[in-house]
Amino acid sequence: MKREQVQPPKYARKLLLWFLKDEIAEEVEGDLYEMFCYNQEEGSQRRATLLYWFQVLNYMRPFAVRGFQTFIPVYFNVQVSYIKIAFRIFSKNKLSYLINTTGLGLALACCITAYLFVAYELEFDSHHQSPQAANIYKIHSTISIAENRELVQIQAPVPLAPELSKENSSIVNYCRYITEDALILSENQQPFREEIAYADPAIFEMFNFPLLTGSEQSFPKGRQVFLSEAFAKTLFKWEDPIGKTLTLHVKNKEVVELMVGGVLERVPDNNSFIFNVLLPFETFLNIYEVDPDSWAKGWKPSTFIQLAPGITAKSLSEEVNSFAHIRNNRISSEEHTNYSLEPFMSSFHYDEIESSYVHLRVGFLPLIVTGFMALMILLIACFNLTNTMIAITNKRLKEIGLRKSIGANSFQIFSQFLTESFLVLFFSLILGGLLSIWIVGEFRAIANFKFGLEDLNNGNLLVAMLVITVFASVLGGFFPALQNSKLSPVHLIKGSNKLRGTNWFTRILISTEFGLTVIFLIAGQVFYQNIDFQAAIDFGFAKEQVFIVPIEGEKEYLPFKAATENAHVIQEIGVTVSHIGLQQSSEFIEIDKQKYEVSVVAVGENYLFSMGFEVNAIDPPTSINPIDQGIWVNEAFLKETKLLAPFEEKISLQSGQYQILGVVNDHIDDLQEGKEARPFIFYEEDPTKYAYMIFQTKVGKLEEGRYLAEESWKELFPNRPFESFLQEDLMLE
Amino acid sequence: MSDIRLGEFEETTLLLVGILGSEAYAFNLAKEFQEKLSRTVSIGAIHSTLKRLEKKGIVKSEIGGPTAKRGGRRRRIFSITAEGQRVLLASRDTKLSLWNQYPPLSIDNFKLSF
Repeated sequence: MKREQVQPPKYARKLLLWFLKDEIAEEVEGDLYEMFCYNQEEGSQRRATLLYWFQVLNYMRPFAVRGFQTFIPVYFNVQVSYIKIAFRIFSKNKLSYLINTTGLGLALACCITAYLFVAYELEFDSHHQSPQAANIYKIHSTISIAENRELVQIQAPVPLAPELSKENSSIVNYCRYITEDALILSENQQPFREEIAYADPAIFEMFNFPLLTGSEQSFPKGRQVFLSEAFAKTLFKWEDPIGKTLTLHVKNKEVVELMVGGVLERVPDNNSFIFNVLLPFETFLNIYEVDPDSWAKGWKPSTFIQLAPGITAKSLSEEVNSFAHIRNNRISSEEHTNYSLEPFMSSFHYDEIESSYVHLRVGFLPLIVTGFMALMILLIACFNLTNTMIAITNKRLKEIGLRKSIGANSFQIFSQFLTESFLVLFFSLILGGLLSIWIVGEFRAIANFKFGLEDLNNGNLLVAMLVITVFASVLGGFFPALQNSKLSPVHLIKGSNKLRGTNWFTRILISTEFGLTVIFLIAGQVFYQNIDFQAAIDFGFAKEQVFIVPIEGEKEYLPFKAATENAHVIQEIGVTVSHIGLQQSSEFIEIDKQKYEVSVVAVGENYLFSMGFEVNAIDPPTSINPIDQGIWVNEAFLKETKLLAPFEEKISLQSGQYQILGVVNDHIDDLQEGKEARPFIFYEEDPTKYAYMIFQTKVGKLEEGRYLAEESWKELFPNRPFESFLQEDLMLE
Repeated sequence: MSDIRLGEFEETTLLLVGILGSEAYAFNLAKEFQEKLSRTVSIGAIHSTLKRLEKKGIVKSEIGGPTAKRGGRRRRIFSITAEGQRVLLASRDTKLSLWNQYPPLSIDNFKLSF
């Protein structure tokens, strides 16, 4: 049955006739009409309509579009003449345009710096983007610690992924990842303290870590180590590192001999995995003697699983969560833990995650702050350009009048001045690009931000700079261009139309520019004074007199203490396992059925005195061991727990029950958390685990004390490099 | 030998113009591409190619009569010029010569003759 003939779509036809050249309109329309009828008979009405639209749009070609072939050459010639005039004006007002170009260049360099943060956030983990990345998930642990209070960790127990993988065939791969600071000695015994990562071999299959040299197959074998490109160059310069040996010193563990099995290509800093040294996860299990089937609390690596294509995380979530019950049943007094799968590329920030071994995004606050500052600087520079262009226009009134009288319309005058503005921004962009190399370098050093210009996606950067340049040139040049285009040619040539030196718009511009500049000057002064303020904060202990030396257990503590305790500049020596501002853990204790989160520091002999704390005890300490079979708490602990008789109270920690022996003054352990003291418990730990010695020197004798300590160390331990760091540096990090 | 070099699409279009004869207009050529070569080509692409070939002097065109199936609109019929014939022959001869130098698919092996 013949279908009823329907006409081609009306609007498609109108569009065709609008842009098509008249001389070919009839034949083209006829062809498309015939095609439409043919498609209608062969297929459906809808298909015929879609194809008609497609063919119409496909006719937008230079040979068919009216005016196209004459438009381009004329437009091009006009623009060339605008550019010639612009250069002429620049050469007559060199100083003004130089100041503007420099100011805009600096502003654009600040914009590029701000863009670093934006790019870090937007391009985070884009290095690992691949079709299979959509099937990779990280395991989140959500721990309920109190009513309406949950902690989220991107961590999971060691056996979780392997056990899941055994029970569920939809998991094709898994990778556990854990990092720590450790000491690496090169072949010639040069020490390097580096971030060491341990990962399952599947890290190469699941993520993008191309090798410069070496083979992925050698990764799981024995004590093979893979180095980052930069670290390999530091260690071995231009020699081939494959087969070379390194020594790994892990705290309180045996020294581990390693052989270099490969070198990894540089990866951008905005990715989840940042390390200079990569070792197999099995090496970690061996060094720390971790039972791979143990669910015991302590070691919880960041864990990733890869699902088979077509399998969604939702179908697996119940199974993952059932492991929570296993864990909770095996560990007594453990908080309720739930597990969930989150897509690998999903966005999480440091303020949302309590702990993670993988890096997270920066967060929105730095983005907003730096972006706002860059925008304000750009606005100041753009307003300055506007004022300059208005001032210079006053000298060009006759030129504008002449052009208008010989036929230039308002749009052409507008285009000319906007072109001049674009040119200024173009040169500013070149200058800004060069300045940004310096400004970005300084900014990275101040903010300890490793992500740099070399890590940026060039395409995105180009688009961003183009957008900013167009925005700035329109902002800076729009008003002068608009104002000039509206002037009357007769009055201009007669000379009776003079731009006033100032009007309401220029006054607003100048006031805003001045106001923003004053704000920045004040902000700079506040920032500068903040540095002095921070340095003067009382932390509650002798931070300017303390330096710390990492050690390995009592076997190093005793001889080193004996060698240094008589030094005249050293007042107190203490020892500890964990340390304020370096390693402290959180625990939840229960008093009168109320849960409290407290920070717990495992300490050793004379720790509190060596740190300069003031102590208040039942019995004044008669020995240099103030902690013995009990714990010490700070004033904030008493305030938080509202204990009326603290010395009669017994407190339950994971390691046992303790009596409170004394109270120490409050202190600040983390400036970023605020100046309020947090509740702390100090308890004594096994001497074999001693990790740091604390040296308190006399006032002003810190460097001398360090020097004496180093000399003693070299005599006692010639094969172990001496390391030390200042408590003050630790607090201000 | 002609100095004009033809691209693959231009050569195919030219051959189809020759095949279609007096029915060689843009829509028909697009239909032939689909039916003979299973290749979807837009009418605009064919039209653009024909205009280009016309500019080079390889094809010529003339306006044909209106037809009802085109809503009473006239069509432009394309035909190959003598220069166009020369260009096509040169292209064919070059290709055949190269094919014959490739032993597995040489025409001599198939004992064909033109």
